[in-house]
Amino acid sequence: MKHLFIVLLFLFFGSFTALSQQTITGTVTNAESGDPIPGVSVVVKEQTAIGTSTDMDGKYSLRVSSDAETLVFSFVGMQTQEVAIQGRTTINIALQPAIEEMEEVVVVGYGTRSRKNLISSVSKVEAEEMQKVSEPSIDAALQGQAAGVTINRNSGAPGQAVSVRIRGVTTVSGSNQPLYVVDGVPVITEDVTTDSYGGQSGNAISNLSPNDIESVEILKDAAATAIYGARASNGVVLITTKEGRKGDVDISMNFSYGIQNPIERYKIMSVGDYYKFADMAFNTALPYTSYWSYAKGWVDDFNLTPETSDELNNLYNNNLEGFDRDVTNYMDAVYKSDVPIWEASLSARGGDDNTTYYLGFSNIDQQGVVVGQSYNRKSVRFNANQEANDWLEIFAKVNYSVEEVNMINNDNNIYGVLSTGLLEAPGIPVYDEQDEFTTSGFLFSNPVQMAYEIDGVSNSSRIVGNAGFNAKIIRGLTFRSNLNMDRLDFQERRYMPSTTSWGSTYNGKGFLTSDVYTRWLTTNQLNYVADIGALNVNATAVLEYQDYMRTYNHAEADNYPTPDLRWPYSGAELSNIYGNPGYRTENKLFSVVSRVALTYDDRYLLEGAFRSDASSKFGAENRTGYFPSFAVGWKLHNESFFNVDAISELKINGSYGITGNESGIGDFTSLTVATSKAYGDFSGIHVDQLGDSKLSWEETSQLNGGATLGLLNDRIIFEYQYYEKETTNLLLSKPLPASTGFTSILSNVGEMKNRGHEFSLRANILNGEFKWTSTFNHSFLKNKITKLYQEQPIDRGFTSRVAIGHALGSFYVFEAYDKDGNGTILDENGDVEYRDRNGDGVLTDDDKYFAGKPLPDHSGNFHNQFSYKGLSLSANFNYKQGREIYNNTLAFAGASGSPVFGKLASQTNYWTDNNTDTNLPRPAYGAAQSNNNRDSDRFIEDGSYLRFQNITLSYTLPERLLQDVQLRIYLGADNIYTWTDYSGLDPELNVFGTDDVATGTDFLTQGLNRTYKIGLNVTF
Amino acid sequence: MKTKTISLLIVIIMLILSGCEEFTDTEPTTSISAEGMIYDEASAKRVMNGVYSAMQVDNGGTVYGGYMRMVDGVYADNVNHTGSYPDVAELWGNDAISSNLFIDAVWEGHYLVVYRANKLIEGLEKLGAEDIPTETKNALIAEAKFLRALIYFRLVNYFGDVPLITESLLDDLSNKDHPRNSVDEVYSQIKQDLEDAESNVMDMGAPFRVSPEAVQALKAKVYLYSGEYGTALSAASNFAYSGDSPIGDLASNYADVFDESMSTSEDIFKILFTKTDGNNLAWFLHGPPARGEVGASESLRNAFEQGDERAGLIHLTENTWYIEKYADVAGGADYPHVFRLADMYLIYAEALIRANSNYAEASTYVNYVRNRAGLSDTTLTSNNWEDIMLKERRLELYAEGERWLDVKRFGVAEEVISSKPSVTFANVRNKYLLWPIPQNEIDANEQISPADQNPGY
Repeated sequence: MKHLFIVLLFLFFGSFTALSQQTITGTVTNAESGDPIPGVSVVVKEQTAIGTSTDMDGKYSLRVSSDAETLVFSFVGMQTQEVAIQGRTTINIALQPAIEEMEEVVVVGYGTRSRKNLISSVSKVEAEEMQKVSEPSIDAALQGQAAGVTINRNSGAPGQAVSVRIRGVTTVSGSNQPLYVVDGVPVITEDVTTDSYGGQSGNAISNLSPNDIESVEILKDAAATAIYGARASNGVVLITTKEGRKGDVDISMNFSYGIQNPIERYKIMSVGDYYKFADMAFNTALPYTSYWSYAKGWVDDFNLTPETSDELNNLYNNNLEGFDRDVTNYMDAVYKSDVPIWEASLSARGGDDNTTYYLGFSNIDQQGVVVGQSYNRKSVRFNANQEANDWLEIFAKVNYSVEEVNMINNDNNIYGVLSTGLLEAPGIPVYDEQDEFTTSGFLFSNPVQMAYEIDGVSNSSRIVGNAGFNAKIIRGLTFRSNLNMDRLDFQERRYMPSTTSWGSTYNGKGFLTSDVYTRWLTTNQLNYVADIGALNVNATAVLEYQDYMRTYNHAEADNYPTPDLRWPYSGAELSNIYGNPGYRTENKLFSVVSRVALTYDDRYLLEGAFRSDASSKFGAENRTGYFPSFAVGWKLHNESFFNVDAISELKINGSYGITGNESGIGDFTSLTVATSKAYGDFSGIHVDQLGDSKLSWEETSQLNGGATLGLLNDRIIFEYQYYEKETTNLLLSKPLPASTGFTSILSNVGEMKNRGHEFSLRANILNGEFKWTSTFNHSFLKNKITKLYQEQPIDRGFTSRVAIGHALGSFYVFEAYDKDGNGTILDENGDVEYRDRNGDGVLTDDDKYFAGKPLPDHSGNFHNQFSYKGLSLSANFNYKQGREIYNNTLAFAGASGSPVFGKLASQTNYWTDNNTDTNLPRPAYGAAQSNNNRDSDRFIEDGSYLRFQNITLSYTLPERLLQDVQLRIYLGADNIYTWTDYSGLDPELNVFGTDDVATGTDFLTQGLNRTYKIGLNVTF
Repeated sequence: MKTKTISLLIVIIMLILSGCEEFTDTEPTTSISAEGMIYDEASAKRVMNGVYSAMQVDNGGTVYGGYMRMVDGVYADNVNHTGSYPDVAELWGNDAISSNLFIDAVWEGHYLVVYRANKLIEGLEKLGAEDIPTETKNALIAEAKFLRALIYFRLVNYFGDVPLITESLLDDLSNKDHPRNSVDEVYSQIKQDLEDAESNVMDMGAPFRVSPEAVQALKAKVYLYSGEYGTALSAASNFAYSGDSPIGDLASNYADVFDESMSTSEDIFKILFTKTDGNNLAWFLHGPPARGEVGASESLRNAFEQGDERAGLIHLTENTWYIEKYADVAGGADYPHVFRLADMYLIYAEALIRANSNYAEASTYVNYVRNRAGLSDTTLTSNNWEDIMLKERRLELYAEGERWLDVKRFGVAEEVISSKPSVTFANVRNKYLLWPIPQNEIDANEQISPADQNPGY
């Protein structure tokens, strides 16, 4: 800049005598704050060589020739303004911040594009929006931020993996999670939890602090994603972390504190109602009533004289005064209220002409709403750039974080806290006379004890380092090389002390699992940019190589001297029931990438990319995958014939490309191998895997077309995209007759389609002192399985099925219906009637039908932001519509569940001789209960919802008050209200975590929380 | 400067490319290639251990582990369903559907043994005298054939006609589909295998591995079940007792038979388990702290005479009676019997009657078993022998996988099922005698169509 000023000055004096001159003076201020702006460039439009810049007080003085007509005021971060001189000698001007006018840059794979030149489908999410929600992990924070991106928070337990789905789902056997690329480097994002906590799995992307993030771009169509080849079918999430900035250091501190409460808790049936139910069930099923009276058993526990019928009736009527014992409501005993979540972060950002840096530190701590749960993450990031000389720039980015997650057993687990809290018969004493936990009397385990006494801790530490350089070789040609290391040390410890029913079997049982993921990657990239006449060329070539290793270790021991000693070291006996300890697995990927983007006259855009991925995972006969893509775009608004003032942008785009998904292939799945298998103490060998030497990635071709319309100088931007994704070579376990000794072989056999529309509308409705921006995203999705091996459906989960012509994971169940026309689905005995759909007179699996699907037809969000001076209010709603949930909780804790299980409070309206007008079957046991409880559409519920997801009110104190210190205070609330017909805890849950076949299934899964928070942000 | 840059670039690209030659080379650390895994005696023995392990816990313990005991238990009348698995409840009601998870697992588990035995036999047959001593080779083949015969004997009794597979799956999967073979065909293969086994078998480490006695025990049962009583009798007579002890060669104490720390004279063939395997027998059958998925039925408990020591392994825990023959809840290392002497005494007695109507000699063997349980002598006659034999087998061998096959052999299955509290009359259809061919098998096997399913399913 200095050089430019000298040149300008020289030119200014050089033209001194040419024409008659006049001097214009004035002050440039910030239209928002009223403060003067130093350093604003002021030039004459007609003679750009003549200009000056404002001084420290925002004042300028410029001598111009008499034929000068217009002054141009420009400053970084402000809207450039042109002012006609009209003979004036004093021109004061207020510049508007240039938020909207600044050319929006969008990060794409291996490069960037200006939004206006983007012809692939990419959604940009501002980090600021994501930071409003109290989600520690960025994937959860993406909820309701972009069209075509569906987020599912599968459990309310802290630190759990989140399902992020971009434009539907493309795989049955592999992962449907997108590829996460942080600062150009794909990172490890597998679900890392190794042990079963019932549907809960760890989240690998949560290591990254949202505070360090500048922006997130979501790549959706093949033109955007194919450059990531065999890992790109699920879309790509590009995360850009904050960089340093030239100038004085900005130090920013942020502190927020929130309280969380479960949106909903399970309400359990009262002791009397439950025992009445259980006894009715046993009475109707079995002749020997006295023996089976659960209630009597309960009464006997209190050593009361068996005035049987009176006592029982007292009990049935919930008249518990006579029973001298506290009845603990298990749910009340394990849930907590007003649980804190807080976060503190500090960052420093600055630099000089040659060096810039960003340093960020953050600590977030979340307590769970159920006893025994918590999450903590501490992370530190350092990003630095050094311009070593005029051709070489060196950079390094390092992120180190440690996480601790305390988990309880949950969900589909007989030691689960919520599962047993609901399914154990109510009224069993939780504590004995000595105030110790009781273990007897429970069918499975004491739910309260499980919450308090069992350890389930995962600790991970992760370092991601990325260092490299950018070199300018010749004009327009640059070379960028970087080396990346990613190491995730994941450790999980579990302990069941001897005092628990589980641990007592082993006199204490504990294990420690260690999973170390190490990956190194080198990316070497040549970039060429040139303008050849009206043609702009942007070409990229990349060589990339990665090696990915995982080392697994497991130590397990039983028989501990005391419950105070909780690590495997202290166990007297080693045990190894849960898998083999100690192995390593590895895969390697070698890739060549090239891309050329052409822009002609800022009107026609053309882009082609090609990637080849050779992976050690693929079968020997199919080692390399090729992934081409191309895209075209036409900026109609730049055509001379196009002359509609109101339309500031009109662009149409189209693309086609091929991507892959290799996540369904294990490192050595393509081989036929024998592994060790002992008979007693005698080591042995058996063939345990049939391999397919042609095994390859799943391939998705995607066609995309759309248009962008900007109105009123881009105050309103409307975007529409249509896509068709066709996945072939779907990896499926090709079923083999079990009589062969194998039940399946993994092969590329299936096909699936996703088709959808995406709309997004962004509008600056009010632009003055009072501002109102509004964003609306909506997407439609249709998913369909089109080919399976021998058309054989695949079942997973409880009732989830993969079948031709149906959406992935559709629910396949019996149909309960009013067969006898009595107005209910129950027969004259109070048992459920089912439709014999094939009419063969017997109820078999062939009578099941597809009664719903978990994938939504529609999803979207509606976001509004209002601001007035320092005050700002934002509100976000998100919704999913046209999906169902299989409520397996109801199958167990509902009226047709086994009477040995506790029941939901909502289930008291069951059928009895005097209450026949109901759809809840009679209490039953044995065959009648099995019949009533068949997997049927009785348990399928509408899973649509609209959620008032977040509201944030913030106030920024005027800078004048605090001098160089910016202070912002904010109040926020998450998950404020959910409109849904779903009867369970939350429509977003899934007991099978991030699985996409067995999904939309609720089985005693912990619900989400409502959070209120207050925060303070200081920058100086 | 530019020279520097360019040389830097070249060096980096060379570095990458030089590393690429081996970029596809990764080696598994937990497996070896299946091809050529059998090449000498030691390698064949390793693979033999793999065959035994299939009878153990692979697939959840579906041959001699906890799954199997639940399934054959609740299907007859000794065992009640006391847990929560809906598929076990279905079996207890004798109203299974073809997609019953446990039936599926049992089928799968048995054929896993068949596959591994076939693979081993094929591997051994390719070896010459220079690789392995011929006698050892033949003994190992005999061992594999014995195990294959044992599995088919079980399969044919549970499922009726089953695919008879005697060659292992080829790499190109071309032989993956097999039709159901008739019960007769299966039995003749079993008998053939037994004949081969009989002539080459050696004691490979009884009671946890095959021995000549185990082969005779299986032979006695196979011929008894298939109605060739003379052959059954001659095989069973290998277990005849010539001394004068009131309990024959039986272990003196009934409970000792199930104590995994003891080896008794009664063991003929039992399956070895270690803690690492976790057989789940105690886990499913034993009361708390185990899962206690199944318990002792009232009719079993009522069948014991006063003073029958065998009832001592049934305990009341938290309102439910559980069978505690398998007691290692934590470790799952009980050793379930495939054949034990008390079973063979009763088989011998049955063969004596069926072949020769020798009630007197038969009574002696029944009484060995009764006396050991602390009961007095009984006398079998042509009128009562069936009742006594069935009852004695029931009380001696409960929860050992015999009851369901016994009631079928004696032709009282329908009666027994009808008397179960879990079964309503309407449920007793013609389908109960055979388990369904699993739906997965029908779906995947191109040579078995839904029409080939057992009647009633």
